[in-house]
Amino acid sequence: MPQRLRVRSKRPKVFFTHNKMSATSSPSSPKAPSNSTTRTPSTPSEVFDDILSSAQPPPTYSQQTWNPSNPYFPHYHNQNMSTTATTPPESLIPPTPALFTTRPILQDTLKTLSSKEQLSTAEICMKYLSNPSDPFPILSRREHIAFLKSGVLGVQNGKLREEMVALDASRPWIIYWCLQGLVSLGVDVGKYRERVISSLQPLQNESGGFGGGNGQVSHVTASYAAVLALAVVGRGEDGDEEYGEALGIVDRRAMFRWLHEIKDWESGGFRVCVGGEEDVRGVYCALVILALLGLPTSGNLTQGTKEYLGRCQTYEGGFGATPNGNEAHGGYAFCTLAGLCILGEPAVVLRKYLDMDRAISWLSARQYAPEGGFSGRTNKLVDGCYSTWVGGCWALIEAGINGPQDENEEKLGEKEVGGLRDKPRKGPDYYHSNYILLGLASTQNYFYYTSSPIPLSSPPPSPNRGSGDPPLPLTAPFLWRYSPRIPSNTPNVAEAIVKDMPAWPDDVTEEDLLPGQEVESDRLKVHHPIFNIPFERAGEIEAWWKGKVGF
Amino acid sequence: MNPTPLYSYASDPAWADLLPLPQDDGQYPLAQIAYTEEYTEAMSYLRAIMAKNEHSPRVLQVTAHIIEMNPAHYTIWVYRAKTLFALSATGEVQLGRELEFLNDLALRHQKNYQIWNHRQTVVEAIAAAAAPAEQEQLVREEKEFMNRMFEQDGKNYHVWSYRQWLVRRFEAWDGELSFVSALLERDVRNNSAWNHRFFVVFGGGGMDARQQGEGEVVEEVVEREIAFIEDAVFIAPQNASAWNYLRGVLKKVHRPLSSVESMCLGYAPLDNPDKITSSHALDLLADIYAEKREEHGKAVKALELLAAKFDPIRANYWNYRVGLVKASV
Ligand SMILES: [Zn+2]
Repeated sequence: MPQRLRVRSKRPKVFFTHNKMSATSSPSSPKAPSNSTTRTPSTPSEVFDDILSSAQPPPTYSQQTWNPSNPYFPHYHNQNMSTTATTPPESLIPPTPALFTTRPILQDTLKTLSSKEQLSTAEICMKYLSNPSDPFPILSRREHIAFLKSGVLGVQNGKLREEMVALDASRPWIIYWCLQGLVSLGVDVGKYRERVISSLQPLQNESGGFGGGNGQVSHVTASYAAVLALAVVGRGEDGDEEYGEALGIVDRRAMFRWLHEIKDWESGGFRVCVGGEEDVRGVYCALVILALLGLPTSGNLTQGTKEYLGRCQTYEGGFGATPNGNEAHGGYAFCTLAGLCILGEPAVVLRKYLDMDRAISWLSARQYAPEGGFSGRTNKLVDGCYSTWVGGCWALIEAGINGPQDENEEKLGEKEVGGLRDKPRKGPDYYHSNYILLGLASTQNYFYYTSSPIPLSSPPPSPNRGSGDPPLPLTAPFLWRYSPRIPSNTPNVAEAIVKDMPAWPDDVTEEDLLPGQEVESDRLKVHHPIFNIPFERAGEIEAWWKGKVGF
Repeated sequence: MNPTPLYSYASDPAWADLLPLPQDDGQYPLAQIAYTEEYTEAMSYLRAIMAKNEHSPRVLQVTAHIIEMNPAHYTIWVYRAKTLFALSATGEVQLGRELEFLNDLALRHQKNYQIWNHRQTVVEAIAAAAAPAEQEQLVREEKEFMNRMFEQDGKNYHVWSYRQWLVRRFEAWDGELSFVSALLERDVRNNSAWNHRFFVVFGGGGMDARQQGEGEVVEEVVEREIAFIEDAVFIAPQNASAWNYLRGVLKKVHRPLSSVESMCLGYAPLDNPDKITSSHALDLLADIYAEKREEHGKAVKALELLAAKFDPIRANYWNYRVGLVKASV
């Protein structure tokens, strides 16, 4: 098949998307036309036709029955899956591939607690997945919007239920989860901007950073969530000079000072608060804060941090909470990989500090059949939130293998109750709702790293920093791009389909939620692969801090 | 929930000197929580006492009260720790009592970070003032308590992290190997126990490994570990934990993967796919054969079996590996 992409490294270029991962044939493949490595298709449709016509063998049953109104379909399409039917059924809903309705072919006879828990989870998931009428229901968008709104606006008298006191030290998190979840579902959250600012302002401490609530000491995860929530709601209306960027309420100088206080100069890591524990969450959150606020990393605030992150990789290939021997875990895997990708170009930092082969093996082993979901650790159960923590790693891994890409190469451009949950038989919550939506969104776009900054609709203000100011080196996370076309070089593996999924209208208002006016779709708004905020916000925020003089 | 009559700080003379400080949630706050009156009052007295930077016994009362209602309140924990150390310095408080308080909480709140960080701080402080024999007693009791935690959840991440800190901090390696072996006896798929085994044997400064010279692990330790893995794989060939550990051991001691080829063939006879009982053995064989050019055909065969039949959910990964093998020619 024709080579659409130049292969620069010795290794074949790879594209991973959750249960879809493929490699290009090698440059020396006899099937590749001799001019293939230099040919660049000029239009989107040309690329699309190219892929379809080059697919061999002929399209399978699954591809023939592809219907754009059935957008969940490609997620479960896999050339090696045996399907239970050989002729298209009358219904447009394809039968669930046997992989997701039957137990794994290899199962040990020995029963232990782990295998019993695994089996009962698999049984529950199989029941859902083999429901013949609706195995993969479309997102209940209206219900999820209502659920997430209740997180910010409260359920009774504008407040959250009293049991939510367990999150009293995590209020910025609730705000971030719900707002980002709403953005993913196409809701314009700009209308919450003033309230986000007035809610978070009392959480900021004079000594720098944000606490989880008013009067609480600063905590790096609370500060991270506050910064993300402000980043999500964005800029004020034109002419609204009072706040400009919502992030403008952050006392950057005090934040910078406080980050020095929680930095562990010996290990290279960060503590979560003064006197608190130290782990890779602290590192990732601190790095996101540094990058999004455009804080200088002089003073060696990132000294020893890449090495710290590299040492978190365990003998299994995954990543533990600290370099001190903890078990490999999906949440810490994302923190480690994203942390490294904030500190440099993925192909450089990931390859230098990690054993990529073992990392890829361990990450791919997180997906189970028949459940289809990801687990966080070896021999643990699947959980929806790992669709972000593990699923979100794939864009970073791809960029680490493929290296920077030029933009011109190929890139274009439960139904009654809302909320999403860990797994069946658990209740929905705001945390899982957001990360499951982000995980799903990460299957709908191809993220790649390039070497030029994100183009802005309006040009950034010219940098007018004094020449004596320290450099702002954490620019790597701002060099990402996305394409709604997910490339694949494996014949018959569904691709380029997400682009045709019906999208929701921008800036959804309450009226858009009226029955009958809804667009049935699973298509979500694109997010940034490292910051987990709306994609376009990263470039706007970079322009904002670049326009600042000093702090 | 609590059948005893509601206590009120406002009516307690011991708190009469304080003016409770309300919480400032700003105008029209989002994600505001409907606190109980009990929580609101306790928090307002805590804010008042923190504003005075007071570290008196009544701080222990109000922090314990709030922790009972919200154990994830890290600010309370940090302030409580400061107070405890101030009071223990003057002999007003016995730090050992704090551990009893923590035991009860930890058993009820399995997923809490703060309890274990606090415990670490307290144990560190107790140990600093303890004679060697008292330290040994302390470590023994800590391990006993963790065993109670593991009875509820043998994979509790916080407890394992704490155990690794404790073992390293007090060089308490004795008994760790038999402890993990017993856990694996109960559930050979407990990956946390396998991870701890690796920590004890290779990561922990070599107490067990009796490393010699340049961190080299003595031969008999390697043999013992491989024999342990062989037994574990024999009873559950599809157990990823044991195979991951095997790869980890081989890499750590610089043994080639090919040294376990015959073991892998026992679980994945390539010439007789109907007899294959472990996808992990196939995976290892693919890596072993990928190393030798003349055996690439066998590597590809193993990977294709994985993609098509034995581990199809990872088909894209196995196909990617096929691509790597072919590209390396
Ligand atoms: Zn979860």
